[in-house]
Parts: sequence; C-alpha cells; structure tokens
Amino acid sequence: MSNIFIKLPALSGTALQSSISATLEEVTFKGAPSIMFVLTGIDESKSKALTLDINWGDNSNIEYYQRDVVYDYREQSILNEVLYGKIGGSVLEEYEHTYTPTLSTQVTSLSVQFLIYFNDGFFANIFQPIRLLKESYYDSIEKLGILNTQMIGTSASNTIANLQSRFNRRTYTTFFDKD
Amino acid sequence: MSSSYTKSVSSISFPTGEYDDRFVTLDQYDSVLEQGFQVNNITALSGAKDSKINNYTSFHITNKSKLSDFLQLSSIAGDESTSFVTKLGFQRALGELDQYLYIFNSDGEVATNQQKPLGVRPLNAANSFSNNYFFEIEALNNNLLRIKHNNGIFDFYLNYSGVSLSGGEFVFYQNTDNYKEITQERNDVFRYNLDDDGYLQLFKTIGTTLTIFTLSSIPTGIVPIMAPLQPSGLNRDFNNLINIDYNLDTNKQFLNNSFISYSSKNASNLTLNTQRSSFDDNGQYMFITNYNTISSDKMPINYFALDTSRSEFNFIKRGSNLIDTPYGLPGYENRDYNNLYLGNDQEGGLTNPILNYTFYNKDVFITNGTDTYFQAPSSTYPYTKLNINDSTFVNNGAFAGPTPQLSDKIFIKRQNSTQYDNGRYLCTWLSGSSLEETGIWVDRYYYPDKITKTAALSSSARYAPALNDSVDGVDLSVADAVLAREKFFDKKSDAAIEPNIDIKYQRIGGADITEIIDSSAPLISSYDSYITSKIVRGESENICVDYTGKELTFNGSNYTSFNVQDAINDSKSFTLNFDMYLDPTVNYGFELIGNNTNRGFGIFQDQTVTPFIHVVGDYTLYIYNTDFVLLNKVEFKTKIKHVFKRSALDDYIVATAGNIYYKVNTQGNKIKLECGSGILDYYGTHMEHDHIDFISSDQKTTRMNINTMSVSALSSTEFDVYKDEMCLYDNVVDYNDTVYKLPGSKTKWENNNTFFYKVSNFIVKHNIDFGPQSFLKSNDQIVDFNILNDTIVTLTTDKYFIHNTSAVFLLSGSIGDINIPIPFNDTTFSLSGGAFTSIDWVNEYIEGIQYQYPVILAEGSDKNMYLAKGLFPTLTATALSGVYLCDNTSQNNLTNYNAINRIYNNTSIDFKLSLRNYLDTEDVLNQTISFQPSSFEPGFYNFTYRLDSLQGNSSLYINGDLYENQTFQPGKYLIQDIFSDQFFIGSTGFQSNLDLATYLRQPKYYYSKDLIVRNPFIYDRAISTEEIFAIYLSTKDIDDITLSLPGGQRTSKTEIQQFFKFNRNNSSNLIDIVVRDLNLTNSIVRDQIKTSILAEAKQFLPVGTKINNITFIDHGNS
Repeated sequence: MSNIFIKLPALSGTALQSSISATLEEVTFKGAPSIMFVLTGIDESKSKALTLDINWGDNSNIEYYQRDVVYDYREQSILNEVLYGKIGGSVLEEYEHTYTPTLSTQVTSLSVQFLIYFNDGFFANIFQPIRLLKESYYDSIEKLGILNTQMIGTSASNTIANLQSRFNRRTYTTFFDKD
Repeated sequence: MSSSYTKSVSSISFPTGEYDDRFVTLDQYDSVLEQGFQVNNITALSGAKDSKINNYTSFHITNKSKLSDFLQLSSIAGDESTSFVTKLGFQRALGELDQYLYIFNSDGEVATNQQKPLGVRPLNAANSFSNNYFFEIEALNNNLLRIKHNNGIFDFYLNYSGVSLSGGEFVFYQNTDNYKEITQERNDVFRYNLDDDGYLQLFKTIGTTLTIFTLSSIPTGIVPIMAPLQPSGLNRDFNNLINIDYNLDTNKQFLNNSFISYSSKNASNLTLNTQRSSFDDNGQYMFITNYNTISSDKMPINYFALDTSRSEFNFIKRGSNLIDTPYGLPGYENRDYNNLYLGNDQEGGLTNPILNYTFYNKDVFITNGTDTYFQAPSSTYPYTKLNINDSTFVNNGAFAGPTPQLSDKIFIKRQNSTQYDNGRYLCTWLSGSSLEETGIWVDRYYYPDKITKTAALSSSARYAPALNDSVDGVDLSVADAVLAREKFFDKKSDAAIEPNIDIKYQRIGGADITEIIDSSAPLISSYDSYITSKIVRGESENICVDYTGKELTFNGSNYTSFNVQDAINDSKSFTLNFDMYLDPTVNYGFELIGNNTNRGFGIFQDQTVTPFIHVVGDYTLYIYNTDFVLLNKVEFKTKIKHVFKRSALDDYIVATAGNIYYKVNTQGNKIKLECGSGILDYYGTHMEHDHIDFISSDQKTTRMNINTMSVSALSSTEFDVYKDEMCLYDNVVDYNDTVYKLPGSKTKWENNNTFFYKVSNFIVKHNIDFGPQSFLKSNDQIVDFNILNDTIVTLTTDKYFIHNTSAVFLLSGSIGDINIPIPFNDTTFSLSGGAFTSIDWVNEYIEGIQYQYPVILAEGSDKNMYLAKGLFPTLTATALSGVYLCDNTSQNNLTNYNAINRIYNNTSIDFKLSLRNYLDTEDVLNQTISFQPSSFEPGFYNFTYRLDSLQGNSSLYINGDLYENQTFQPGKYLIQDIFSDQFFIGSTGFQSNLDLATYLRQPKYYYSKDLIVRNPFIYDRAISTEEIFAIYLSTKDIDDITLSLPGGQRTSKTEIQQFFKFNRNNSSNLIDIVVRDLNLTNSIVRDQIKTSILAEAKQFLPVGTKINNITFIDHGNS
C-alpha cells in the first residue's frame, strides 16, 4: 500500500476566493499498486467540503461522497476530529484504489480527479497524474516457492502446482502442460 | 517456456479463475511481467492462510476479510434511481405548528393542468390526507433529484426558474419526460443531501452561486426561496431541513457476512433489529478448485464460508473476545482459521478435511432454572482481572429483572478481605428496570436484623450508592434514615473474575417465575365458564356453559363474566392482566373487556355505537332499542326541549322547558336536576364529550359542564364571511377550541373541518378553510337531513333525496315506498300519506359484525308515529304505539350518531377508567390510555392494567413494559367503590350485572368477535412490577445460555463434511431399477414383479444399498 497525500496550498488558512483547479505532481508506480489517497490534509477550517466526486481515471465507476449532516459517533471514527480538528466528520478522508496496469503497454499514464464542492459555493478540481509501469518478477513476485503439486490422473500426466510468491504470499494455481 | 530443468513440461500457464454465477466475478487481474510472461493474480489467494492440494481439489483458506474484497456482484450496479411518496415538512419551535409544502391557489396564482403554484402551510389547514401535501421524491442518483406531484391525472415537477438570486420563483410544471435521460442540474432538477434521520436538503446552482432551498418569512406569510449558502457554518437549520417520512436506508452489499438479531418483542414475526445486528462483517472463506477441470487457460473456482462465528463448543452467540471487535463491543468473531490438514495420502486424503483454528473464549453452558458451578480458566488473557460488568455475560443473554428473585444471580468466591465489605452481602444480580434495557450487575447488601433474606430478595431498592462508596463507613450516618426504611441496598458490583476463581451462576427458570405467580394470589387465573344465548320456548335465555381453560375465543356468540367487584371494592385497587391476539385489521366491536358504565373500567374500541333510539313527545322521552322495542319511558315535569345523547353508555342530558336540565342514565333514571338559569332561551347548541355550548336569543354563548352541570359564559367569534352580514345568529359550533356563531340549524359534520347546516330551504356546506357555499336548494320544506361518511340524505315532507357530499345525485324516493309488514295476515301496507319527521343513523354490532343503516321517524296517515329502518330504497316501518307527533319531536336526534362519530374514536383501543366520588356525584374522574392497533404487528400481546388508588396511579403495561402511567390524587379513591358490576369479557357490560344485549332484549348484540383472550388474571390489589414481569414471562421460554469467559489463546480443530465431486469412494447408496420393454401394462402384474425384485434383490445387492424406485419403461410401443 502506498499513500499519496493530497494538499491544496491555496486553501491553507484562507477561504477560497474563487473555484480552483490544480494539477499535482505525477507519481510513478510499478506493478498493480493499492494507493491510499489521503485528503485529510486539505484545510476545512474556513469552509467545509460538502461533496466529493472521485474519478479514478481507469474506467472504473465514478465514486460520489457527501458530508453527513449528522455525524454518527456510534459508528464512525473520531480520529479525524482528534488528529486534524475536523469536527463533525468530513468527506475529506482516506480513499483507497487498486490500479492494474494494462497488458499491452509498458507504461500506463492516467490521472485521478477529485472534485470537491465547498459550502461557500466554490469548488476545487484536483488532478493527480499517475504513471504505472509493468510489474517485474523481481519486484512483485521475487521468488516462487512450490506449496504443493499434483499430477492430474485423467490427463497425460499434466500437473497442477500451487506456487507462492515469497514477496507477498500470493498463491498462484498453475497448470504444467506436458504435451 | 522451456528449460533444461523442466524437460517434461512444455508450458506453465496461470489459468484464469471462473465462478459459475455470471453475476459474480472473481477479483483477479492478468499482468504481463517485464520478464515477458503472463501471470494471473487472484485477490482471494493473496495472503491465503494455507493452501493444499488433495482429493482432486485445490484448497485455499483466505485471510480474515470481507467477501466483497474477493468477489464482485455485477447486479449491484445499474439504475441508482429511487422514488418515494412523502409529505415535505419543516419542523417549527415548540408550540408552533410544523409547516409543510402544499400545492394551493393563493394570491391569484393560477392552478391549471399545465402548472401548479407552491405554498407553505401547516397540516391542519386542510385534511392531512389531502393529496396536495404529498410529493414524490424522484432521486435520480446519489446527487440529483426531482420533486413530483401527481394530481391523479398529470405529473407536475417543481421548477425553480431564475438566473439571478432575486426574481426566481417556484412553479410546478406538467411534464412527462423520462428521468433516465437526466444527467445534470436543470430547472426541475435539484442537488440533494439526505441523512439517516430523514432530513432532506435541496441545493441548486444559480449562476455561479450554490443555493439552498429555505423557508423565509415575509409580511404576508412564509415563502420558499433559494438562499445562498452561508460561507461558514453547517448550513443546517430548521428553515432548510426538510423532514420526510422516510429514513435513508442504504442497501448493504449482501455478499458479506452478517450477524442478524430479530426484534425480541415482536415474537410473532421476524423483524430485524438493526441496532443489534451487524452487517458487512469480515469472515474467512475456503476457495476451492476441482483440478480435474482445470485447463491451461481457465479453472472453475468455488468457495464456501468458514464458520468464524462459532464459539468453542459450536454455539452461535454474541460476546467474543474484545481483541478483534470494532468499537470495543462484544462481537461475533470467535475463530481464526489457520491451516488445513488433509492427511498424508495426497491423492485420497482424509474424507473430512480438518481445519485448525485459534480462539480466545471459553464457553460455560448454563441450564435455565439451575445453579452452575465452574472455575474461571487459568488464563484470562487479555485481562488479569475482569469486573463482572465488563464481562460479556449480558450480551450472552444473562437475564435482567427488577428484583434478585426474578433475575440471574452470580456468586464469586471472595479472594480478599476487601471485597463485599458493605453490611451483609446477599448476592450479585443483574438489575434492569425494563425488559428492553440491558441490565447492570449490582451487589445487594441487607441488614439481617432488619429484614429477612427472602424479603430482601424480592424487593427493589431505592438507595443507589456509587461504585466506590463504602456504605459501612462514611455514608452510613447520612443514610441512616434511608437504611431504616429500606433495610437493604444495591451497589454497582465489585465482583471480579480472576484466573482459577470459583464461580456459581444461578440462572432463572420457569419454576422461579411460576413460584412468583403462584404466590401472588389472583382472584381469577383462568376461565371456569362462558355464557351463550339460546332460544328456549321462543324466549332467548342466557345459558352458562362450564369451561375450564386458560384461553377462550370470543366468536360473537359467547362471553364470560367474573364476579370480582366485591373483593375489588373492598381493596380499592385492582390489576387486570391478559394476553390478547391483536390484529390491526380486525374491528373488535364496542366494549371488549370490563364493566365501565358510569363507573368502573373497560376496554373499548368503537365508541361510536348507538344502541338506543330516542323519540320525544311533549313531556315524554321514549327509549327504544334498534328493533324499535320500547325499553323505557321517562316522564318530565315540563316539555322536553333537547336530548343530548353522548357515547353509548354515558349518561345523557335532557333540557326541558323552564330552564331545567336533567342528567339521565342509560336505564332512564333521572340522576340529577339542575336549573340552568345561566342559559336563556337558547337557539342552537354544540355538544362535546364533557360540555355543551349554547347560543341564546340575546346572542350570548354559554357553556355547560356535563359532569357538574355548571354554566359559564363563553366568548365566541364570527366567521369572516358572516361578519357585518348577519344581525342574528341562531347556531354555534366549536372548532379547534374556538366557538363560532353561525346561522341555520341542524349542524351535521362530514369530517374534521367540513359541516353542513340548514338555512330555510337551503343546505349550506361550510368548509372552515374555504368558507360556506350553498349546497342544495329545495322547493319544498326541508324537514331534516343527515350525513354518513360522504352520503347526505335530505328529507322533505314526503320525499327523500340522497346525494354525495360533492353534490352528485344518487337516489330519491317517497314515503310511500316504505312498507309496514303486518305479520298476522302476512301482508304489507305502505306508509303513503304520512310525513317524514327526522332521520339518523344506527351503528351497531351483531355477533361482532358491524352494521350501519339509516333510521327514519315519520308520522303515518293514521297520525301514529312510525320508525323505519333498512337500506335505501328498501325500508320497513314499525308503529310506535301511543306516540304522537308533537312540536318538539322533530327537534331531537334519534341516535345522535353524527355528533358521536365526530367526538369519539372508533379504531383506537381505549383502556378507560371512570371513578366517582360517592360524596359528590359531580366529581367524576375519567382516565383513558389509548393506542392505535395499526401500530402493532399482528400477534399475541400481554396487557397489564393496574390501578393503585393508594398511590394514585393507573398504568398500562404492554408486554411487561410500561406503556403509559396516569396519575390522580393519591388516596382519594381509597374510600370509594371502584366497580359497580361484574367484570365482562367478550361482551359489553351494563348496569345491574346485566350485559348490554340482555338489557336491550337483543341477544348477541355487542358481543365481540375474533377476540382471543388467554391467561386472564384479575387481582384485588396493584401487583408489583416484578409480578407483571413474571406473568408476562410465564408464557415465554427462558433459554439456556452459554457464557463467554476470556480463556487465553487456544487452538482447536474442526472437520468439514465434504462430498468430493471426483472421489471414487463417494457414490449413492440408493439405486433405481428400470425394467425395460416388458410390454406389461397390467398394474397388478407390475406390482407382483416389483415385489419379486424387492424380495430377491436382498440376496445380491451390496450391503447398505437400498432400492429407491422400480420403474417400467417400454420403448417403441405406444
């Protein structure tokens, strides 16, 4: 899991004077990363974020969040209140998404869009470009160990084997074709 | 890929996982590595706890995770739109009426089929069911919605037009387009925010400003506007929060594990208790592949859930350790599965795979009604010492009660001398004041020199020391007086569970409850007989049938009565407890249970019944039953002016000439006389349950209190439309506690805000909001008219006309259509040549079935008076012997149903208590506790009604929980009789220990139908809360429970019973035998062959194999 901290310098300590659009610096990942986008750093002391639309940029569904009118302390964490002073909850929390690089290209470039509506009527449109590189055996598998194997009796002694990555303990069921 | 190491393998492939259900997709992705080969990553197999291949199957135990992390449901996506119908309300401050959006025509705004105006007004401004208050919220997605109104013909959508902040307006325009095409904000599309509590906020971008739908006060009233959002703050106040009739209930992704609790109080149905259920839980899953079906490009994958919620001994219960649970509450995750053992034989393996798991909690099984001794485990990881209130026993199902006798108790061996130091320790028990509440464990101490142990067990303490108090020390002097009174006290428990400590747990059981009930000495605890009506030699007799049992169904032809009034009148307090099957769709009739006439207690439903018909002739009041049999004749000294009939069994008021007012009971006895000198020569009247308003010839309005018959002056007002138009009013109505003067006479109400009255030859329809309008005009003199629901019947001298209240003509007829049957010679005469006098309605129950029909008084051509009833146009009349038309006959209502129906309720179940001060007959206490059956699910409910005249309390408990408590002056009725008569169930009790049907001489009238009452208990005292609990619980089962104790980390194993698809040992023991082409059709021969096969098969079939079926199939021979 990797974290990307989204910040809006224009907003720290001052109210927005107009709607803004910001493109952040590109971040490069290798393999199929699970990325945690941390929006808690966006200052809400002057105006509260009402809604948040996230376009992950990889053709998955656009996600939509809105601020709870009533914050339910029975079910929700108070960490954001304690750590960041966001009283009564916030939509600017942490959002996770897993990207998978496309099969056909070496490099995939895409950008994540966060559209935040504030209660003073202004919005912030934030773009976070992401560059995905192909996975490497040495990065995302490292070494395959054999968990167990079995010959398939009905076939011409083909074998299946459960292999496990030493890197992330992911199990791969593989088919060893003898012919 | 080939290499020198894998000569026997020509390729290695990573097949794609496939799940059989096309709506479920496995979370996986292909990736081409930099090194050039392609691998398939299946999320479920990442970080798997264990993987094994055995028995032709590849197994993987997943990590603890949500199933939705591994599988996706494609059916969840799609149309996000939803719609619901609701009122749109704005809550107002205390004492003000809530405001609602409403479609109405004000300020000349035009309402057409193309557009409708929007306004704001409270609900009582029109009937709250008026369609104009209802809107359909059409939520297009999580962001946008439209507000629709349907007037029965067209759809209208709320539009806000305006490009700047000023100058916009709200109009509903007719529209028919498809919501699916809308993707962005438009004039009729708003952004919205809807919270869990049912508050909606509407937003709209105007120009570049985000605005919110807000109510604004202007000099002419309240109007909606779109107001800019405040730069700071939450923008949440009562002018922009719209209250709707729904809560936001998001659909949970149903793929994940859930732990469901049902609402325990509604035992007759399965309603989820969402507060106590847990959704979207983590779990562990076994993903499996049958490897015979794997190919180089795909493999079928299936899964099953592992039982992570089972405890050590396979109980499913609340209360796991506190390590894994969210929010620090006891949860349901008891097991962590770690690995899988399938035996050493890789091909065959074990028939039943073995799973190893870790758990932390020890189970202690407790049987109800017993004492269980056990020792705490040697490790109580993660605790070293655990207070009983921090344990999970309450969540495990420990029973909380009002006293130690009716609750679970626990005794923990004293480890050191500082424990249980206060006074004399009695026990630690789970104290809870209501069945809905979870209790807390408290220690009870008592003073053995002041109170016995048994007495200390069965009472509830009122002194509650804090946790740290040592009552023996500092507080004792302060609390001396309290201790002398209470003699014992409770303190939040000090009991703590430590490793290896000895514990005794005392679980309440059925015997404990029975003991409490047995020692409670009820007057009545079961039925011993019921009474039914039977015709004996032409006379109907009440027959008493012996019946012993605890449950009786009252089916409209039987009732029972208990002779308890003497004992209760001695004790001046009583308790009634029973279970009743409550079905909100059933109308049970008038009085279900009790003996409430002008004193006593009764449970009523339809209080609008009219058992009596009153006919007035000069000085005489004739009281008939609805078959026109004369029950009573009451003579007055002066001429009768008015008879005011109240609810069926209440006394009524008779006004006679000379300003004399009598109170007359239902048996026709004059019980009070008052000279009403405060009321002078009145014209019109208006009756309510406890008062009558009069308007006098001097235009003054006065009010008579019906209980005391005292008269007071009353201020009144005029309707705006009649101001300065009328010089003289002769009628009066009371609406929302305001008295209005009116013209006309014979006021009849259609509903809460519409009434009709007669002015010369007109009938006026008067809606309080819209004002009066001329409704009907007659060329002949209007004799009388009356309204039932939306039907209005008008009488002229010899004709009747029926319209609905929207003035649509339905039917008419003449007096000649009414027949008089003559039974002796079996012919009929017509009432032709007579004249109508008055009309009214009867509402009655016969064998529990409701009947409503008109009753008409007319004078025959023979100058005799006739009463007719039936259904229009078929009416039959009966002569009233000795009754003749007088001046005052037509002035009086026959049943007064229209007023009674307005004043009293016919759906709610009312527990009504009437107490009378015997030193002062005017001092009457009426208390009613009501509930609407529609708010209950069908099922048996336990009701306890308790009257405590010493403390001045009357309380209703439903299912052991206090529903409502009403108070009156303590001790006042300790010297009064409470009941006058026997206590009836299933019929209406009347005076002198008669039931109403017997008095009316109408057998089976006002019997209750479909009424099931079981376990009737009547006490001649106010029983304690403990006894109320106990009676409610006596029909319930007390469960055995399994306590959870922290027991350190331990491991265990479980087996899975699994049918391997390709296991060679696995075949069915049942076989079918097919006999082919014998060409036998004779079933007898076939049966003989079957018998022979069955007999011989035993000799050669393998042991354990059974024949399932023998069939005959013939091919080629039809």
